[in-house]
Amino acid sequence: MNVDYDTFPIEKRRHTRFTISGSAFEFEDKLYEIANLSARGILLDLQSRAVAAGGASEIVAKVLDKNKFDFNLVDTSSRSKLPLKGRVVRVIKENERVVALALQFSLLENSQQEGTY
Amino acid sequence: MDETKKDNNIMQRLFNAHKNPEVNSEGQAEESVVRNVENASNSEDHLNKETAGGTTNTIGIDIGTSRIVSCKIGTDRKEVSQSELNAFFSIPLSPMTREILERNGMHYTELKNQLVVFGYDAQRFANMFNGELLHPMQEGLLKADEPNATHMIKEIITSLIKKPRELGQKLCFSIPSPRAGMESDLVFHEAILKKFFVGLGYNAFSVNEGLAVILSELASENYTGIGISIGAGMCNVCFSFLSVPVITYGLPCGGDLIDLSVSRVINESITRVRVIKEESLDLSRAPKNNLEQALHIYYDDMLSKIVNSLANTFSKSSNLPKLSQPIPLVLAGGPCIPNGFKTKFDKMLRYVELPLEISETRMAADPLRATARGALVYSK
Repeated sequence: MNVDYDTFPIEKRRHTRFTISGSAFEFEDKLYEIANLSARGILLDLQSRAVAAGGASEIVAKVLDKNKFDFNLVDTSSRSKLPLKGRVVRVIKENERVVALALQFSLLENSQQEGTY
Repeated sequence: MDETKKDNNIMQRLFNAHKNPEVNSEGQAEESVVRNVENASNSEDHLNKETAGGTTNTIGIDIGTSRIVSCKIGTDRKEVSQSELNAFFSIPLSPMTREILERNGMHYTELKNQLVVFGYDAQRFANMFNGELLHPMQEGLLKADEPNATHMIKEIITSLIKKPRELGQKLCFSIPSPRAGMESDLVFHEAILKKFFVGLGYNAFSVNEGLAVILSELASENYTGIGISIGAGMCNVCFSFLSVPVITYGLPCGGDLIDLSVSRVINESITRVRVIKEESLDLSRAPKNNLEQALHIYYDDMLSKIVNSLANTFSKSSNLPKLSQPIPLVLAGGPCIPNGFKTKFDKMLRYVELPLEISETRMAADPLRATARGALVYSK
């Protein structure tokens, strides 16, 4: 099954989603491929090979177990990382199997606007 | 009545003059305005053809204090952009004046017994009557003490974009970063614009101006870097990691403040200061007169504020990513255009210490359209 990312409503969106090659979700030292991301959310495709290698069922169990969790947004081309706090906002299932996770995130420091003058 | 006739005669002479630029003593300025009007109408033809062909496009629009710029993709897959001066000029209503405006295809509207000319056409009238232009916006937001601000900005926007062919066509417009203590002003500004665009039939949403610069210029860097949009009203800064805005802030400095400050200290009209700044200022050369010297001084002052704000804000942030390589910094906006601006900026940047390494400072490919292009990227 292919998730139709163009029509799938991650949330009541105000932010445009981008598919950025090399963007990854790092959770407990394992990398997972990001299907697309916006200024506030991430869609993780749990059917991709990268996720399968990281252990799809393992990550689903762990993130669903927590209300909020820390993770890194990673640019795999430069290995640069942005630490973020995330929470699951939607679980996308097909035939009882979780195929994608929609996450919402925030910066470690709560405010998006910093040092406004 | 005599006054009205006199004004109409002046206007008619002006129009006759621009039809024969060689007889116009201010030929250079007049010609550039005419070219702009002609370009605008050509672009509009192009847009109309595109719509007739059934192509639905998203639209990016930069709502700037000085100019409003729209950007979309045409049927030939090339970007089509148009701009209008975000300004207007009122003249007494008379049938003759209205007829002249009609005949010359100028942008105007009637408001309380006044003919209000807007966009680039307003600049011509301001020059002709030696008056100052009125602006719907100040420091990036709708001007609170201008009673016609909302009405006129809608008129100016409508001269650039029409109703969508299909309801719900996406449109993204730029908004500045909120300034401390003025957050509610931004809420009002954004809501008025959104309501207007939705009323036209668009699915409208906003993008931060600094982020728009990054989206326009840093695609090959995975949208990681610093975007600085220096406009007429304010300066917007955004640091983004993989398109996620990490730091965004605004500074109350820009081209208008430079014009005003220079105009005060050398007792020259703001319009003349602006013309000199936009047409002949070269920051790489020593100033040749008082006006240029004042422009250099206030440019230095603005750049100093910007680079110091970068150092202060970034060093205080606990949200910075762990970067494994230096990131680029992009500059956009009208005040960046004078020759020597980037060199001056780089020189200033060397005096401050940032908690991250800058790989290079670069100018946006088209500094006046970068925000609109970024809004277009965000609208898809």
